[in-house]
Amino acid sequence: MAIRVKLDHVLLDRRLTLTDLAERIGITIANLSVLKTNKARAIRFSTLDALCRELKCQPSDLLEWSPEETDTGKEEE
Amino acid sequence: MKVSRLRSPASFLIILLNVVRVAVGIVVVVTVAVLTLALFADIRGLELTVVPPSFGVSPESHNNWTLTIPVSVTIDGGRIAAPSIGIERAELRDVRGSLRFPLQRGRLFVVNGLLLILFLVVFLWLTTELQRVLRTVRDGKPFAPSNASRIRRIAWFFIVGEFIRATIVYLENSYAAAHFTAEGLRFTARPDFSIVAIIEGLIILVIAEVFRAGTRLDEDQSLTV
Repeated sequence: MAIRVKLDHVLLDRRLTLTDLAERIGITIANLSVLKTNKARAIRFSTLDALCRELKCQPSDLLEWSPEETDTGKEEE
Repeated sequence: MKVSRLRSPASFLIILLNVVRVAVGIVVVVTVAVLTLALFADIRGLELTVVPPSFGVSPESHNNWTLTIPVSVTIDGGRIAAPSIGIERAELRDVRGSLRFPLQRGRLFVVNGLLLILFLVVFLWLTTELQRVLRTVRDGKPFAPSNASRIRRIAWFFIVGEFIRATIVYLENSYAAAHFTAEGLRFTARPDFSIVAIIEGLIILVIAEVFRAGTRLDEDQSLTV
């Protein structure tokens, strides 16, 4: 996946734990962990909204696109 | 929610299939035992039917073994008419039926016995595959990747199975045409190919593909945060 989630960096900057964030935005730790470890296939706008609001950041602070990781040809339909 | 509502019928069907599997398993064991024993011992009244596959033992009705095979006949002569609608002459053609005859212990018996056992084993496999699919439904995970493969295998079973059945019927028809004669009718060999079974197989194949797409969507959904 070419999109990388930089949640761990932002959490480190804010000195927050995954558990704290999960409690504040009402998302399970398991789901946040999927996001943090870049296993997520998609992110809802509502989740992004909650993350940005709580972490006081922009979506671009959380997401990064790296061209070398683009999985061309893997996309179906 | 939809999945949990399906759990109860799935559980019922699993139990039903369990009963069927045990019954078919017993029939397989008994069939193998009786047919093997029949090769060496004097078992009277053994009745084998090729299509649909079945066998039984009725010592009181027949002393010999009997084999029932599918036949196709053309009836010669015999005037058929429908004067009320102005039809003077009609023909009865390609009549299908079953021919039952005494069977001697030998190659024909062995071939038909093996066909019967093969059919039962394949049926056992089919019920096992269905049961595995139902178990995933019961457990609330119907979109398991293995289910699409299982449903695809079942679809191919219908398609390939129909070709095999049609071939067996044709060969049995040919056997009857080559060896049997009857007054007023001729035994013929004619393919008995059911397009309906093929369409059923194709429909199941489409369902398998839909299932595969569903599995992918389910995976995407589970990894959407």
